[in-house]
Amino acid sequence: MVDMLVLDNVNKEYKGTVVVNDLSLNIKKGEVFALLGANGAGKTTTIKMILGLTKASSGKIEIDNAAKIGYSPETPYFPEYLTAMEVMNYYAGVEGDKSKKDKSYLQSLLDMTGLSDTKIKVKNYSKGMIQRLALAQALISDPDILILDEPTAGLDALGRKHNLELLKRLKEQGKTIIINSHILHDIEAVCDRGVIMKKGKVIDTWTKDESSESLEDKFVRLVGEE
Amino acid sequence: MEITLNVIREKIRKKMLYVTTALGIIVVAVFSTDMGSLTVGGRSINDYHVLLPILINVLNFLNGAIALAISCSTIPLEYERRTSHLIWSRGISQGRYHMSLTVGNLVTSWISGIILYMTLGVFAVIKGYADILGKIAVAAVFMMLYAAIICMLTSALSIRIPTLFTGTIMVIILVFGAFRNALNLLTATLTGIGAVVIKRAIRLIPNLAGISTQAGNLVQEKPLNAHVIIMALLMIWIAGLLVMIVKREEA
Repeated sequence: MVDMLVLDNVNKEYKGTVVVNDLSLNIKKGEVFALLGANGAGKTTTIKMILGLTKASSGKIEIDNAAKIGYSPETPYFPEYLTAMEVMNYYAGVEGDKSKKDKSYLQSLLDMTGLSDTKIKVKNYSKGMIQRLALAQALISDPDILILDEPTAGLDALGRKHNLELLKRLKEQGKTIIINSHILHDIEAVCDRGVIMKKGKVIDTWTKDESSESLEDKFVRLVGEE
Repeated sequence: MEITLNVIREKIRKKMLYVTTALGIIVVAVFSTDMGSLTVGGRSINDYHVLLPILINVLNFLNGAIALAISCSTIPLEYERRTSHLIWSRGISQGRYHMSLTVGNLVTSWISGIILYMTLGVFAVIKGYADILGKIAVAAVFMMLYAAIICMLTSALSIRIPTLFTGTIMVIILVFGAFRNALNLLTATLTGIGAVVIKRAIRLIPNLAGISTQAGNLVQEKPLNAHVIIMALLMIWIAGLLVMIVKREEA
């Protein structure tokens, strides 16, 4: 399989503190890859470096030339006075691709994420609905790589199930997905493999069905150790 | 374009804009009635031809304050809310992003300024001075220059400096710029090295008073000072350039 994203000895320092330490990853096309670790492990900084939201202090990040990236942040903010369709229309406009501003296309993305009623203003949205809207806007460019920061956080059981099914469908479409999540059951349900990070370093890798030990047990054993 | 339109939409929803515009309308109304007429040497001045330069000064200053208030927090708020993440991750450059936000603020402040000038026009007609409507319309161009300087400078500063400091610096620039003629008069009598430093420092402040004076000259059919207008345009260009090149290290 083709490498979609390669991180080669990537480091990130903030005022002398190493946040990401010598990180190397190869993420293949069509993979669903998990970034795991406790708070402060360097997962979000890694995502930010991949997205170009912050620069790596050293090392190389290579993204497949033609790859388009969609991003759903952990704590998304959308103007409260807009409806879901207006938010989608706004980001479609920011993309600069007129074909993506097509109302039926945007509606299909909202339907896909379970936000069919587009007349409700964002101010009346639950946290889960905002999370779904974040996912919908990430899909506007029909991205090859989808980066999702805590995509099921704040969702109720039904919402989580819906989003996980959606992620499986997106994987079937051949999208490469990178997920940062604390909900290990969700990771096990959709991801192919991942890395467990601690204090900016990869301390172990995880592959689906690799052993009888559950991801949760492995995570607690590795991250819980001091 | 989308980012700019979104800024305009968001700002128009803010109550602050309406309150300040209402205040401006009240100022025009008060000056336009006998209650607010100025008195010079015991003689009441309510001739609109004479009042107009004063009103232009007041309205430009007020609109400058509106431009400052709406520009001060726009860029920092984008980063605070992390809306910037969804823009940067779409490959939009910082320069384009910051300029789009700034233009949104600028257009909003122009809309507010045009409302103020339209009020001025309405009162002029009511008072029987419909003949000066054209002059008021042309004077509005100077309001646009005035607001552009404040808007661009505020936006450029706000990219890297905390909102409170940006606000404080810009209030000083706005007040000193609006009273630059008075400052020049005050410092004219000063001597020594300190005086030279103060005089040079004053020269760095945008000549907002000069811009309003040119608008006043225009309505009174006096000659315009091209130097003031060129310097204003240069200031806008420099501030615009700063908006494009000043960058944040991360979104």
